[in-house]
Amino acid sequence: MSPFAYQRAASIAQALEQLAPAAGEARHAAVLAGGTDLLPLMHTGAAAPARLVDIKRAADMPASVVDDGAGGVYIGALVRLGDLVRDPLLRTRFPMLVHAVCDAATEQLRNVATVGGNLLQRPRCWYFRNPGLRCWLHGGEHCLARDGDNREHAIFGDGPCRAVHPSDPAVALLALDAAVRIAGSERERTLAIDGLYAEPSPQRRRETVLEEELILGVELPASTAWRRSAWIKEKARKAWAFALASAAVSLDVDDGVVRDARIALGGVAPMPWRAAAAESVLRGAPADASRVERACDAALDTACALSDNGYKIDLARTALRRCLLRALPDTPARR
Amino acid sequence: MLDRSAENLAAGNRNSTRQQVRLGARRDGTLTAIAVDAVAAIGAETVGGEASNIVGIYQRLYRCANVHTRQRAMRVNLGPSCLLEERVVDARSGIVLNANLEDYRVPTVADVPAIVWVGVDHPDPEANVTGAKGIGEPPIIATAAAIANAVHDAIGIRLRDAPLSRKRVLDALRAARRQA
Repeated sequence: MSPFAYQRAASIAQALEQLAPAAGEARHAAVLAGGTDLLPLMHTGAAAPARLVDIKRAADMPASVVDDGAGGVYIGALVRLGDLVRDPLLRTRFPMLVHAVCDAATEQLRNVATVGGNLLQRPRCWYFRNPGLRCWLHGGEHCLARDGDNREHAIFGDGPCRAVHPSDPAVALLALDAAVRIAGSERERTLAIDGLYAEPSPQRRRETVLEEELILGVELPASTAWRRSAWIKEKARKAWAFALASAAVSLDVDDGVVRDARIALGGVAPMPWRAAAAESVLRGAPADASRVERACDAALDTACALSDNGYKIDLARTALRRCLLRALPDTPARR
Repeated sequence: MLDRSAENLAAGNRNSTRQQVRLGARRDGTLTAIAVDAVAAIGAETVGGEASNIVGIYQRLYRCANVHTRQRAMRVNLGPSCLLEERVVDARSGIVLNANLEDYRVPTVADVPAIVWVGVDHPDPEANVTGAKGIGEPPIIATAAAIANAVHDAIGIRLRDAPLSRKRVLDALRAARRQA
């Protein structure tokens, strides 16, 4: 592990000062909250920050779930996943998010991990995390999974990295049209969650949040509260496993017709994957079983499997079909 | 044939067990009853085989007609040979990719079904002087085959490699669809 300094921020302003690169500093500073992802990354050398900026005691950091007064909910970045599961406001207005969070990690991890940190987790790719290897994401030349063992890798996106994004809550939040509030030294900005993630490109190996910025919280809009929604996660075992494939849907159905649909898939792409083509198949149409099949076809149409992960196309398709049938009224929720 | 101490040496380490024994005896020392409740750790990390028969010895070692024994396993080792556990090696570098407890997936409590333990209490005098037979390891051999047979019964395709992962099952179904 590389040597690093530890700093404790008393406020958001101080945290932002501390996150700014110091003169002559070659490596970045990193935000420390729950540390459930950052510390293991530092152990394997996949992360080597010059300084850790601990924001847990920053007095004005949002750390609770509050009613935004307009029918939506604001989740502070320091809210722990475990607290989120027990929150009555979320359980009533956004139960699908609670369901997704329940599927993430373990009870013990959820009691330490924060919402902000969960959104910025690094991939679990076994090439990226291996201390003896140097893949593209770790600063190397090539994606080692592309021609290696890629059974758990992406079936969408043809960028220079095929690792999948590990967060379950991010997939649910994408289907719930959430936005992320971010503080920077210049200004505060709000980013639709679609904008938080970008496909890896030669210019960008990380999320669109800059190293010297700080996630303050997540906004859930009134427009997706109380919706018909469902979450399904397919994993290798029943607990403590990242998604092989997951699906999150939120539907606005009126008199048997789908007025709006938001569909997100997880475990299949380097970022939470919005299935916009499937959404347009459902939007404005009567919600029946044949329409669901067509939406699933549309969602997986652009999938492009590697040598070992073709099964994920079937897995994601089935997860999405079951999810839609579960969320729609009067369709038999087949399993 | 090995004597008892040689047998102990040859069999190596024993599974960790917790045994609760209650004895009934007359004033003259005659045993009237033995009640044993034993819990044994039987899993990937511990020793199976002959050494895991804990309560059999209570049945045979004492001159007492009234012996009640109960043996429970803490964890059945159905993973390695069957559903989950697999060593993944990168073909180019030879590096083991899942040499950690996150990627090498042992079954969790949620994955292991209810365990029904049935003892077949026929001594095997050919095996060793105590007549004890293995109960830790041998049942696992049959478990993997039984589950593979159940998968064949369910999907009509014979899978010949373990573990029977979701990838293997879905790949086989996809190949069958393509052939049809």
